[in-house]
Amino acid sequence: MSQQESPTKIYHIADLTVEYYMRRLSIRAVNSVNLRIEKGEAFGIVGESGSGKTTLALSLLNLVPKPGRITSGSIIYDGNKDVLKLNGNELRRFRWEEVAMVFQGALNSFNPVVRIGDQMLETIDEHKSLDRQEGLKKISTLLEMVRLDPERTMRSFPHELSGGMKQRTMIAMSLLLDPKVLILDEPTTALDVISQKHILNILADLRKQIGATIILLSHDLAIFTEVVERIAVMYAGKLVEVASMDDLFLRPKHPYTLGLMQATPSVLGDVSKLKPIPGSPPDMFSLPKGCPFNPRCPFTIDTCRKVNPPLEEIPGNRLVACHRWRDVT
Amino acid sequence: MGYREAKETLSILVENKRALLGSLILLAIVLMALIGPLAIPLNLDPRFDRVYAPPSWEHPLGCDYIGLDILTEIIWGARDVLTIVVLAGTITVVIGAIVGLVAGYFGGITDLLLSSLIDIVLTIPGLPLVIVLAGLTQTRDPLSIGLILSANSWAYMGRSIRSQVLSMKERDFIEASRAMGISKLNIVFRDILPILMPYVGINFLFAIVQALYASVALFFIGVLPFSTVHWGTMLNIAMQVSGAIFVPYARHYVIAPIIFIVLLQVGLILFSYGIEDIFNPRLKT
Amino acid sequence: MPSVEGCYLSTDYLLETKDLTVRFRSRSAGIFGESVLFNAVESCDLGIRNGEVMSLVGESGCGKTTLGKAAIGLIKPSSGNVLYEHKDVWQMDGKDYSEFRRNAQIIHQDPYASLHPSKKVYAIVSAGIRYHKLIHDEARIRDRVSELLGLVGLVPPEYFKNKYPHQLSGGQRQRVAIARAVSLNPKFIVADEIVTMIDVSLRIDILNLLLDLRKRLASSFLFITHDFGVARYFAAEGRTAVMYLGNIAEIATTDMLIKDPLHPYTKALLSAVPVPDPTLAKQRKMMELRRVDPPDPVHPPPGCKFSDRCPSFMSGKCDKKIPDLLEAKPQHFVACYLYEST
Repeated sequence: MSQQESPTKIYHIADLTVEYYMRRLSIRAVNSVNLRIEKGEAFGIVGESGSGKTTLALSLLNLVPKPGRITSGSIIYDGNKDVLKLNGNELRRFRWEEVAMVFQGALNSFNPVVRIGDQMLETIDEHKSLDRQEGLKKISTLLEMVRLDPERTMRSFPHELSGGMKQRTMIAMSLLLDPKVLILDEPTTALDVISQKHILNILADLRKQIGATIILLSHDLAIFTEVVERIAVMYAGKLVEVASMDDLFLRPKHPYTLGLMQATPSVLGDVSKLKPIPGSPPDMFSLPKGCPFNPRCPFTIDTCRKVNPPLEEIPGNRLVACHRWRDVT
Repeated sequence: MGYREAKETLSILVENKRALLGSLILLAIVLMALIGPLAIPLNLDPRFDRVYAPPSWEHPLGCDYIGLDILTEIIWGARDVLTIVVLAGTITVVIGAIVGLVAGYFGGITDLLLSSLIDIVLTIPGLPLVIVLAGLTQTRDPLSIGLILSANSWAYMGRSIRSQVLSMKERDFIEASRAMGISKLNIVFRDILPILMPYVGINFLFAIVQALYASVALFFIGVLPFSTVHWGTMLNIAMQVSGAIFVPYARHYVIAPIIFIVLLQVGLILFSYGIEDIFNPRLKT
Repeated sequence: MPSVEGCYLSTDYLLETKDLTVRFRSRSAGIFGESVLFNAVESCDLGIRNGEVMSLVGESGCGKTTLGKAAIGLIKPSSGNVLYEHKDVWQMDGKDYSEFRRNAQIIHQDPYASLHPSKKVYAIVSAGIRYHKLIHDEARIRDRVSELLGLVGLVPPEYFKNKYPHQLSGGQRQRVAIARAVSLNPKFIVADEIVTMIDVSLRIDILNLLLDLRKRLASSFLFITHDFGVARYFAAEGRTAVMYLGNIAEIATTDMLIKDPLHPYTKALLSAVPVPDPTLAKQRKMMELRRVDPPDPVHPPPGCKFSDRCPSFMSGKCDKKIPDLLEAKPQHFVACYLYEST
C-alpha cells in the first residue's frame, strides 16, 4: 500500500476519530483509524458489538448521528472529494449516487402500505430525472440481478416478501442510482442460512457485473470467506488488523483475530480445539491503558499495558497493531 | 422499607425538582391538617362585629360571613378534605388494581365476568352517579363518602391495568416463573404488580385529584350534609348564602378555599412526576 | 403414526412428544390480511433420554421454539401427547405434575427480557427455591444462592447478589438465567437460542458452562438454535434433530448428521453454512434448490413442506402426504420418500 494518493483508492481514511458525547462522559467509538480501500475491491470489516465498525461505515457517508461527532481526521473519496467537507446539496447527491448504504435491519424500513415498485420509483424520482419507462426498465434489470422476479416483486407489498427477498430488494434499491460504492451493514444477520448464502453469491456476482466497490460489515467471521478479498478487524474502536482474506484466516497476526477464530464453532473442524476469549467485552467508558485488548490477550507483555500499538505495515502487504505479532500462531 | 431504602427514595425525590416542590407543598398541607387543629382551637361562635373582615395580622385570611377566622376554618377543613380524598384514591386504586390484575392474568370466564362488570360501570356517567349516590345516602362518614367517590373511577383503572397485564403475561421472565411452577396468584402479585407500581402510583395521585374535585363539588352543591369547615362547604356558603362573588369586600371568603384546593392539586401533580423515578430500578445503585 | 417406538424401547425416554401438533392463529399478514390457522408444530415425534443432549436446528419460524416450550408443558398441544417418564403431562395428577413442573425448566434467548427488571439477582435466583419451600432456613438459602452463582461463574457471589439486571452485561444476565434454571435441580432443560444474542467471543464460554453443569447435574438438554456450528458444538456427543416448517426432517447422532445427511433440506443447510476456512469455502457450492425462497409458513405446499424447493422432488408422491419419520439407517431417522423402502 503506497503512501501517495493513488488513483485506485476509492476511500482514503486518515486518522479518523469519532466520539459520542453523553452528559459528562464521552467515548471514542472510532479511534484514529487509517485505512485505504481500493476501487472495485470487496472489503470486509469484522467486529463485535462496540467495535466501532458501524460508526466507521456511517462516517464514510458523514452520517454519524448525534450525539456522535467526527472530531478529527479526513475521509477522501476517489482521490479528490473530502467527504467531511461536502455541503448540504453535494452531500445529498454524494449519498446514494456515489455511495449507497444498506443499513442494519433495513428489512424493516419499507413503507408497509406502498407497493415495492412504487417505492423504488419514488427513489428514482427524488434523485434523477429518468422518465417512467426508463425508470421501470432500470428497476427490472436490478431486480433480475438480485434474482427476483421483477413483475411479481414490483407488484408486491413488503409483507408479502420473505426476509431474504426484502433484503435483496433493498440491495437492488441501493443500486438504483448507480453508486460506485455499496456499503452493507450486517446484511445477512436476520436471515436463514440458505438466503444468506444466496445473497453472498449475488454480491459476488454483482461485483463482476457492475464493478462496484463493496464494503461488508459483520460480526460473523465465517461469511467473509464467501465474498471479500481483504478484511479489516476492529476492536474497541481501533483497527487491529488488515490483511487479505487468505492471510487473515490462515495466518492471523493479531491475538484478537486468532481468538475470534478459535471461539467460532463451525460444522467442520475439530470441536475440541475451540476456546473462548477470556474476559469480557471492552468497557468503552474506561478502556485500559495501552492496548485495549491487553486484559484478555494471552500474549500480553508489559509493553502492551503501557503503549497502545500503532497499526503498522508488516511483510506480506498487511497491517497489524500488536507488539507481539511475530509470536502469534 | 428499610432505612437504606427510605434514604434512597428520598435522594431520588430530591433529584427531581418538580417532585421535590410537590412533596414540600403536600408536606405543608398535611402538617397543617395534622398539627393545625391541635394548635388552634375552632371557635364556632359568631362574631358579628367581624363579618367579612378583610385580611389583617390577627386574621391573615380575613373573616367569613359570621365573623369566624377563615384561616382557622381552612386549617380544620384540611383534615376532612384530606381524609376523604385519600380514602377515595386508595379505594379506587386498590379495587381497580385487583380487578385488573385478576381479569388480565386469569383470563377465561373470570376475565369475561370482570370485564363485563367494568364495561357496565363505565357506561354510567361518573359525576351524576356520584351525586345521586351522595344524595341518596346523605352520609357524614368519610369512609362512605370515599366509597361513593370511587364508585366509577375504579373501572377506568381496572381496564387499563388489565390491558397492561395482558401484554406482560407473555414476557419471558413471567414464563420462567410459570416454568418453575409458581402459582398464578403469586405471579400476579409478586411479579406483575411490582412492574405496574409506577402506573398504580400515578393513578393513585390522579384519583385523589379527581376525588378532590368531586368532593368539593358535592359539598358545593350541598348534596351532602353540612360540615362547616370543609373547603367545599365554604365555597357553598360563600356563593349561595352570601353571594360573595358579587360582593367585592367579601371576595376573600371565596378565594381562600379556591387557593388551597388548587394548591393541593398542584402539589399532587408535581409529586406525581417523582413517582416514576421512585419505582425505576435503574435509578437505584 | 409410526415413530421411534419400534426401534428403541420407549422406556428409554425421559421426555417424549408423540404426534405433537400445535396450531396457532397467524397474526394478520400485513394490514388487510385475515388471520388463518396454521400448524406451527406438526405431528412431531421427539424423544430425549436421561442425561442426553439434543440440538434442535432449524430456521426462524420453523417451530422449534414452540416445540421446545410444548415439550416442557408451557404451551398446550392442539393434538398429540407430551410424556414425562411415560406419563402424559396434561393428564397427570397434581403430585406428578408438580414433580414434572420442577424438573422441566427453560433458559430464554433474550437475556434482557428473561429477568424481572425490578428484582435483585438474589431474589430472582432464589424465587423457585422459596416458593417450593425446598429450603426453609434463610441462611441456608443464602448459601445455596452463593453456590449457584459460583457454579455459573458469577464470582464473588456477594457482589452479584444485590445487583439489578440492568446493572449486568448480557453475558452476566444469561448466567443468572442459567443459575435460576438449575436452582431446582431439574432433570430436563430447554435452552432456547441462548447464545444468539451474546457476543461471538463469549459464546463458547456459556456453552462450556452449560456442558459442565450437565455433567454435574446429569440433566438432559434440548438445545434450540439456528446455527449449525453451535448445535454441533453443544451436542457433539449427543444427537441433533433438524426441523423444517413445523415438521421434523431428520434425527441422528450429531456426527452422523453432519457426515452423512440424508434429508435434502439438511444437505442444503449444510452446503449453505459458511465456514471460516477460505480453501474449503472455495470448494463448497450451495446445493441447487428449485426455489431459493422459503414458502409462506402459513400457506405451505401440500404434502412434504420442502417439496416446492427440493431438487429430488417426486411428483405424485412428495406433494400428496407428509412423509413419516422412519429409521433409514441404524439410529438415523429421516422423513423423506427417498428412503421409504428401507
